[in-house]
Amino acid sequence: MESTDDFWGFLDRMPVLLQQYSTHSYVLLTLLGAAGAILLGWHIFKKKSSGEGLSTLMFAAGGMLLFLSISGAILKFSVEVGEQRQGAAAIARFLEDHRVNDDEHWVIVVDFTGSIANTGDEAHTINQDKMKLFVAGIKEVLLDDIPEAFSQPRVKLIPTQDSPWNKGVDDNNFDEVIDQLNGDELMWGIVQKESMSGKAFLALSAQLGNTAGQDLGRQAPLHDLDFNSDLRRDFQFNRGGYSRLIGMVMLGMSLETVQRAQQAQGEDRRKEFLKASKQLTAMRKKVSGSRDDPILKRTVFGSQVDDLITLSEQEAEGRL
Amino acid sequence: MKHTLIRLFILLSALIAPPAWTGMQIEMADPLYFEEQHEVIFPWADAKLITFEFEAVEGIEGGKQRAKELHDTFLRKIQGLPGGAILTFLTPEGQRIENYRITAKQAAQQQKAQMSLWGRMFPDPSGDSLINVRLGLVEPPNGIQTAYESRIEVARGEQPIRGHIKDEISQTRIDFLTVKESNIAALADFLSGLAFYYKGAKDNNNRSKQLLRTAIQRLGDYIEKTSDQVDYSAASAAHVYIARAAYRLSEIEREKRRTHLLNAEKHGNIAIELNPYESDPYTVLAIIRTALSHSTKEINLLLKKAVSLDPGSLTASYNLALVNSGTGQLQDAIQRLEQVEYLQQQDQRSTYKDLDKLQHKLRTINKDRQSQ
Repeated sequence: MESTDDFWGFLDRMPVLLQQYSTHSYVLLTLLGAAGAILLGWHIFKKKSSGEGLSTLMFAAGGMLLFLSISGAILKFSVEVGEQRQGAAAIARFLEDHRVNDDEHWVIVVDFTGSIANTGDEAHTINQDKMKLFVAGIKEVLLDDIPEAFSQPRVKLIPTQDSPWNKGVDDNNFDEVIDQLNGDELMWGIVQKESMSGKAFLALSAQLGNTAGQDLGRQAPLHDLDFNSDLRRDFQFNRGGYSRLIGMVMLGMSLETVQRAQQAQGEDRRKEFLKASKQLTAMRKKVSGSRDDPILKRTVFGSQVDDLITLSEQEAEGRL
Repeated sequence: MKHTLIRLFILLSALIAPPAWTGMQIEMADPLYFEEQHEVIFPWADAKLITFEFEAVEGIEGGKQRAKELHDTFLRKIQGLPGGAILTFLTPEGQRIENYRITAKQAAQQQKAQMSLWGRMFPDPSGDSLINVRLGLVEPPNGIQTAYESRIEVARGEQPIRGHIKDEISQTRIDFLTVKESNIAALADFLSGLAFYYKGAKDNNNRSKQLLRTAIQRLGDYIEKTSDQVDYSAASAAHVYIARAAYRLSEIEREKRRTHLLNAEKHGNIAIELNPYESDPYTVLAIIRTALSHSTKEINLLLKKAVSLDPGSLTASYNLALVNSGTGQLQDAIQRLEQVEYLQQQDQRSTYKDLDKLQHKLRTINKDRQSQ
């Protein structure tokens, strides 16, 4: 009667044991499983050679170790697969919610406040408000000051929480972010927690950059960011920050028009190239005051853009 | 009732304070103000500027104050300018202009104004606040032009090609990047200089002479006052208007023609140096140099540059076609006129009604030359 109770008691503890084993690493599970297998093997060997195996306790211990290791590994694996599937579904939902359409020119701004305060903190909420104001300031610049030769670009703020890039965006993954969100240009920032300051960057998609050849600088540091001050100042009122922002966005939009023109045929082709040449010249006119800026020199005023202007003019005049 | 009040205000202003007669500050209490039709204020004005309070961060009223200052300074500077006027739109305390859902251009069109000005202010409690100012030329002033004639030799004798190289003002927006609030007076110099140019460029008489001189003086003051922090684009625009004004003076004061033309050329050159990406200065310089009898080749290069910087401009292409024919590049001239025709179709307007005639003439001459 007592042994039956022990048996049921042991079965009751089995799920807890399995749960416990599934938390071990695969290496530990392999070692424990190997120990169980050795005990069972030794028992069989002894039984065959001398007719007497290991004690019941040792035999049971070997069997249990092997069983729990294998079951624990299976359980661990299935939990991991489940988590991976859940993560993939969450990412798919995130991308579905934030992916932009093809019809317009999109400048995506990735929220960079995550690195300077923990979610839920009061500081985080304050920084997020600043981030929203910053994006509103960028929208103001782009909507008010883009020349008439361009249609108005769209600007979207994307959170990093629940995104595939929850550790942030940098030089190594910005192309992946642009690609997955279907954007044309991406802005991100790197901010130091201690000083609350850093730098903003903007990059054109690889697809747009290739229009002007491999050598076109398609990534540009924009301006210093200081979360202790009004972030809008540097992009609205500082000539350098303003010109780089508006210049790079106009460059992206012009390249998009060139690309569309290259794919068009007949009368539409000439029309699109005329539009492209108007945009490229309007772009340079707009930021001509910052033509000595090192970043704009190798992008907006770069030789690759010279070539595109010549090509667009020739096509627009029906000379090609 | 509102309209009656405005009429009464104009009448009272004229009677009580004559200097303020050409200016009015309008406070709009209704956010739908611009969606309603309003009477044109100062309908006789043909150098009218409308301005808006500068946008500022919520709770900061400095944008209204700076706009009022600009209004008063501009008003003082256009004393004696017939047809000059200013309207400034302000919102009541606690409200912001951005809620009024109107573009400066639309408002200027409603009020039949030639210029509209708006901007954004960044208040700096520790010192000079910063203002980004935008000036739109809703109805640009007259540019300059010169007669151009070339003679092409063919078997049946010389064939004259006549026309005008025209400067149609294409720079319809001038951005003043980050003006310090202490520089409002310099901004008023630029604006009043432009207003004087608007009027001076209407005729070629003695009255115009005085107006153009004042325009040159005011634009020169702007350049001088901003010399420590040059805004290339706006400074270039100031120089190009001085060049235009000087060119016009050369047409009125024939005895000082060469002096004025050389002065115009100097400012045209500086305008290009300051902003080599704007097409207008190249056309202006081409016209000035044509008047100074520079070589056709030299004029051709300037006009070519103007076309490449403004590929959608009918006038720039037409000017180049005209001069191309003078350099004997008939095939180029014919192709250029085809481009003018194409641009006219795209814009759905027929600026050059005699285009067919010129095209036909050049084609015939070209055929004759090829058959020689």
